[in-house]
Amino acid sequence: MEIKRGAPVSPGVAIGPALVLDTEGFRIPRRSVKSDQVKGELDRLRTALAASAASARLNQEAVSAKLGQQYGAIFGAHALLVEDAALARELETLVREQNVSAEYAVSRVMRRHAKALESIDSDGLATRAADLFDIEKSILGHLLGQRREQLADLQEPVVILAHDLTPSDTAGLDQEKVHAFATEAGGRASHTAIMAGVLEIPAVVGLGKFVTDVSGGDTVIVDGNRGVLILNPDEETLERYRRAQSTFRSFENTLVHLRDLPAATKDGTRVQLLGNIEFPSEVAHCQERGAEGVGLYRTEFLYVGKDTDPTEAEHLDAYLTVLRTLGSNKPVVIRTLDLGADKFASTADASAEERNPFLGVRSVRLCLRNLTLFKTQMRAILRASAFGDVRIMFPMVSTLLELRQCKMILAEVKEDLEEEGIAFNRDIPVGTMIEVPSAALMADQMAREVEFFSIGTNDLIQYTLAADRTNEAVASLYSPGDPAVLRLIDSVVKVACERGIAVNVCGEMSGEPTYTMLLLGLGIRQLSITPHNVPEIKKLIRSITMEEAVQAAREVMRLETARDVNNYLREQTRRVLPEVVS
Amino acid sequence: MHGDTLRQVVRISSPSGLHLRPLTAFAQRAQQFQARIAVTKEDRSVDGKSPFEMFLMVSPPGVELTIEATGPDAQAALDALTALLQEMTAEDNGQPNDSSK
Repeated sequence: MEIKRGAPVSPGVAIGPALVLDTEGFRIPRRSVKSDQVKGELDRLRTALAASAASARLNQEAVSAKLGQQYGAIFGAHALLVEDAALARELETLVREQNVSAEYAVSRVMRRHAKALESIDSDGLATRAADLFDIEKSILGHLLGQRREQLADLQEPVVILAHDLTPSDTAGLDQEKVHAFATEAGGRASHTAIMAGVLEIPAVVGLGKFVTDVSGGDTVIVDGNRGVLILNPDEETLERYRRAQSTFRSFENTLVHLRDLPAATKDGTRVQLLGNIEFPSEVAHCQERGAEGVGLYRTEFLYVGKDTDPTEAEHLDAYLTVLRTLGSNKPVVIRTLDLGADKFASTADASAEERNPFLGVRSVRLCLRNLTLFKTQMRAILRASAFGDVRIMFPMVSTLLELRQCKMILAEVKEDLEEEGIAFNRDIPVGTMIEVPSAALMADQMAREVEFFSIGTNDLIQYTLAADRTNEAVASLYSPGDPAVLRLIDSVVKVACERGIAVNVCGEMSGEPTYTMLLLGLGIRQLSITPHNVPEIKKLIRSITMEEAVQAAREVMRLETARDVNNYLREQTRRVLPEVVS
Repeated sequence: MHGDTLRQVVRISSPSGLHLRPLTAFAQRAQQFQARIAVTKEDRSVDGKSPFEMFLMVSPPGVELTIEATGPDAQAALDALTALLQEMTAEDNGQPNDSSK
């Protein structure tokens, strides 16, 4: 049993067999085999070892011819390792004595040796472990053949373990079969965290190195409440977690009755709770939890993991699916593409490596350089607006000029549609994300251009404090409770109220119970959050008065550090609803 | 007399120790002899004819390896393998060695 600690990013507990994803996307789906399959596994193993040695020799020839013999010799040495009788004996013993699959045996043995090598602190050993991983990959490649990279086609429920999950890893994921995520890298705003929220499964990120310690099929526990990953738990731990799992489910059940009650404070101030979604299928999550609409529809998944950019029809199809499920009278805020250039098809040319992608060509900056892409999405959003309460929102706007450009292009697209006689809502509400400090500072000017603001706290915090929270060394700087961030939010809300435009918060801060009282106290009346968190936040809202909230906000704005703010808010929240404070 | 075990201690003086290619080459060469070959580092002993076991044996600079040969051609094996290790060490030390190919 081994216990790893990281950052909890999505609540819940899951127990299951590990599916280890490495950078090559290999997976080892099955750990055990029946005893009558052992002979077959041994045959597969021998065949794969021979095939792997043969391809290493082919590589040796090819590389020798291309780069010289001393490079080719590396593959010659790999061939010698793979066809070594001692290795075969070790693998076969494991298969025979423990009834495990050939894949599991290969992965287990290689990783055990790699770990032993890595644990000896000496230069050059890391490359020796890399040699082992290379060999492992080669043998697994021969064992798994076409079965690699088929996350869409999982046979049994698994817990996915990886260094970091990328959008392309998860794009085709079979949601029914994935019970949890745990990754070495990543933070609260990482793709893994977002996906886990989307799928409503437990997740722990930022665990540090562990992928080499675990083999596909090992039993693991992901504790998304405490940020713990347990590899090969003992029986006692397993039992304890099984009990915890059922307790957590029953706490959630107590929130079910809130679904049809309004989100209003004890003294009657109404708050609108909207859901953040990524896939059309998540609208169902919103409805189950009583969200009053979609406050943030991320559209990146239409772009990611594809060879070509999505067509207007594909956009429209997704948007209409959302509208159909939600009903035409509920708001849906569609956010235009919010990604870096490296993430999808048509801008591969722009993939000249950026030294600092988060300060580079992404989101609306990318769209403004790629009008075909931008207009295609705008057309689809406008066409969808004929069928429901659709609103359009631009992400990562940093200057007034950018916002005006976006609106100008939108006007052009409207004209086109008009000429073509295609129906759309001429008065579609336009909003901008406030997630770059410059936009927050210019909010009074921005407010003249739009019908609503949506404060994207994840980026706002990262850009205000110049801290990437997936970088463990600076992650502690990143806090929604930082007074600088709160001043920006406070001023944006004041501006919106003065100008009479709507403002909501759609970052993860809005789904964290600790900040609910503060946000209400600052004047926020609309929150857009992960559907999963809606009942909890609603319960909290229903447990406080506006007077308390305003008082708390006033107190918080006087505090000097994020730590003071967080401590104070935790205390206040614990006072009214202890269950939601972890 | 075939059971006699001959020993030779070789100190690895090359700056980066021994890695993938020298270690597997050693095993490959060892396989050409009838004698059983064992290589011992401190208290850990591996089959000198197994590329995999040799590869896993960590051989940082300065380590002393004991080569043990048991069998009819033990002396020849010991001489050849000692020479091979020294040759590879020399190669790594940057000394010219035309026979290395």
